[in-house]
Amino acid sequence: MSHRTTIRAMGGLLASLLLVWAGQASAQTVRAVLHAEVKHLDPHWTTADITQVHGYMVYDTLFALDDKGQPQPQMVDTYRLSADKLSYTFSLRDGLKWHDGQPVRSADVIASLKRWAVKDAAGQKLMARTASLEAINDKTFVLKLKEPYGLTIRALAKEYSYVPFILPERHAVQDPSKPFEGEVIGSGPFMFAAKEWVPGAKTVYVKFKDYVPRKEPASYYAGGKKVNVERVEFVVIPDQSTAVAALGKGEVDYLQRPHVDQWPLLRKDPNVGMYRADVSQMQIHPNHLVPPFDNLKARQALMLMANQQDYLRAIAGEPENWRPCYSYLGCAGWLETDAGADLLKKPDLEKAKQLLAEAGYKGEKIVVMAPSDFPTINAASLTTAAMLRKLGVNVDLQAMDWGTLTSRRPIKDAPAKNPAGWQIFHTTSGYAALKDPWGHANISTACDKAWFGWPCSPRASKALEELGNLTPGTEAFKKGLAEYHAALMENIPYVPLGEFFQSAAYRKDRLGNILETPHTVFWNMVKK
Amino acid sequence: MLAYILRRILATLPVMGIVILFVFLLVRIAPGDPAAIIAGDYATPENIQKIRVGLGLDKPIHVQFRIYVTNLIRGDLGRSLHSRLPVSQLIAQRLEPTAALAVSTLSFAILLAIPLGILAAWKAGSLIDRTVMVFAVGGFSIPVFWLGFLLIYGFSVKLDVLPVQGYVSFREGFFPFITHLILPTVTLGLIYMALLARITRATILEVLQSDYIRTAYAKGVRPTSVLFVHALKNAAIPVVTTIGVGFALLVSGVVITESVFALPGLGRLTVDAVLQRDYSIIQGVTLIFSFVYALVNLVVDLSYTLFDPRIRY
Repeated sequence: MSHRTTIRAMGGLLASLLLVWAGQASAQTVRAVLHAEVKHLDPHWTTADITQVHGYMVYDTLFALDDKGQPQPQMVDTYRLSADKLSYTFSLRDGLKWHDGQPVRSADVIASLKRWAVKDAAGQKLMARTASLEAINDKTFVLKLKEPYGLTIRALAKEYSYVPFILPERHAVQDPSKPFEGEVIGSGPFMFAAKEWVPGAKTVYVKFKDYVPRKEPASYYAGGKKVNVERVEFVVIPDQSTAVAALGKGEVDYLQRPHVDQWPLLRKDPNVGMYRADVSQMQIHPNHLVPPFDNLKARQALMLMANQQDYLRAIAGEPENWRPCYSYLGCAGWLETDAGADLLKKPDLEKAKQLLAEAGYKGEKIVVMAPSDFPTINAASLTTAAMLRKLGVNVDLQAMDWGTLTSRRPIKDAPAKNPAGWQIFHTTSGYAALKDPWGHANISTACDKAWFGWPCSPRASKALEELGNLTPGTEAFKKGLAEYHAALMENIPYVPLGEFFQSAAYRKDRLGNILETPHTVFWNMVKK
Repeated sequence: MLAYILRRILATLPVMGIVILFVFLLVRIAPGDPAAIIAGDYATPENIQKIRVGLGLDKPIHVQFRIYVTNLIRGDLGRSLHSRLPVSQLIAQRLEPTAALAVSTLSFAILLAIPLGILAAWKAGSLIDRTVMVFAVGGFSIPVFWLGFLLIYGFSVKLDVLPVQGYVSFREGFFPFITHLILPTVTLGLIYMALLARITRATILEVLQSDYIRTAYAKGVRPTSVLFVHALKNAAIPVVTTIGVGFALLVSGVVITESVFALPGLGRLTVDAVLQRDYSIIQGVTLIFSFVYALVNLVVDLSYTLFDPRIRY
């Protein structure tokens, strides 16, 4: 080969290598990076948030919450409550179809609700009060209650795990302790592209052309689910910096949960928009079964130790990213109350030390589990360790991954008896859970049957039960709410550490009409 | 030769048997509960137990092992505890990106490292030699993730000539395939280039002291022929061994590069499985990696016969 030919060949190669990557998917494809990968496809099997996002893509619900937090019919066309408040008759909308073309029937709905209620707390409460759930015909079914239950429709509109998605009967009759077997078939606005699924890398959904949206405009999870794009790809980018760079370059269109460290960079980019997608409450969960936190005074000490501003700054940085909140049930929500929250509002380290001593603490090791693979929870854990040390506590801060923490959490023994035992762990709850104490496992005060930590307060449990029977907005409801919250503050099932915001980021030159829901939904969205 | 190959393959079977048992027990002894991870944060202990039973994880460990080995003998690596997809399918999905990265990285490394190593050895003690060695030490010392981010910042964000992340199969287009591989290849390749350059230099230097090299020079053979024909061939064995080990490592353990560039390779599959306690995938990939290591060692050993005619099996 001559020198000239060699130079030409190298020039061609260089030109090729300098070609700008034009690998953008078509204009009607949205590429989104979500907070986790889609691993589980059965939304009745796992409480994982990402599976609920998957559920909202391919399934539908009988009711859904609107942006005022009110349940609205979704798959249901009309419904009526009998005069004695014991019988709900539901009629399904016309045109509801499964992705395989078959019509949605009452039998599908009934089987799905029964399966959902096996594991879901709100569903269990509903089914405990249900005398029968039967189909009248393919489009009409009746729910007969044993006693009036004011939360029936709200339970069917539950927005977070487990969402009462409606599955085909052949899937819904399967054992909920295992994921259903069979192709993913829903009646939702998108179809799951099973052949393109690469767990850990990519999940693909395509528009379900036969989906009939409601006529109302979209509002939160309710209203018309009109799909304006042909295809949605959930792309897994494990590294946050890479994901932000990819958004800046337009390789992806949307980041569901960029880490707060990346927000200043995102805010500087003129092509990137951000919105507040969710509010999370950080929590300190003490083990109520082992010393010192089996003693109320020790838990009060924890509450007095916890300066929310300190925690929130460690977790979420600048004050614009968080707000103190002295309510177990979320601030700016329909259940907001701070009844009984005096200890929480006025941190006092000296008093905390005194209470800890009165609780009988004599310097034993206190195990704090810290998941190093969860930045926000880890920050809270480190802050707790530092604050406890200020109280003179002998802290055993144990770093581990989340998987190890979840396997140790169920252990009730004290660390002195079992090396895997613990006294403190931290976790978060999303806003949707905070607004729904009947379904929110973290806040259960059912003693042995409660969530990890096993708080026990018959007073709080009774108050919650009674609250569920009252009509929201009435004086009786407000009184009942205050009683419930005061009971929680008296028992301290966990220490609420305020609220921090979760923001999503997107290319505003490419996407529009995004519904600002905690579980990102892709209907209503347009790609420009 | 065939008998030797068969003997080597048969010899790996007891090794893989020990690996199977060891990994099976180790993942179950280690802290972590896949049922709790699957159930999610809001699940109650009762629901977690139901999932555990549903997955068969409540069975005695020897029963679980018997089921696993019985399936393995039938060629079934099991199903992912999480996605319920066959482990063989999950591995197969990751093979192409892993192989592409491994081949491109090693090709890049070999094409640069061997000439550099020979040059350094030929000009031993000179400024050229020292420059090459400083470059090699630097390449070996630079953290992979830092280099990756630097390259992304320079070539993707600032110059906008290469993509930030992702993998595109060659079936979807040759140029997207190549452009997506360039940055991860350079990131990883620099480390292997550094290592290979140093080993090449060291072995060539040793070989250059040999009598037959002195004889070749005395006979008037050109220096390039002496270096690339006589010296390199005799120095090849340690270099080829390192390339073989490098290939095996590239197949199994480049999770940092895969994470930085969002490449869906076997490294990430393994680490994700460990974090999620997906026993089936951990067992499956460990088995595959053991086989790959054994195969690579065999290929490397067989390749010695190409470089040294005195070696016969």
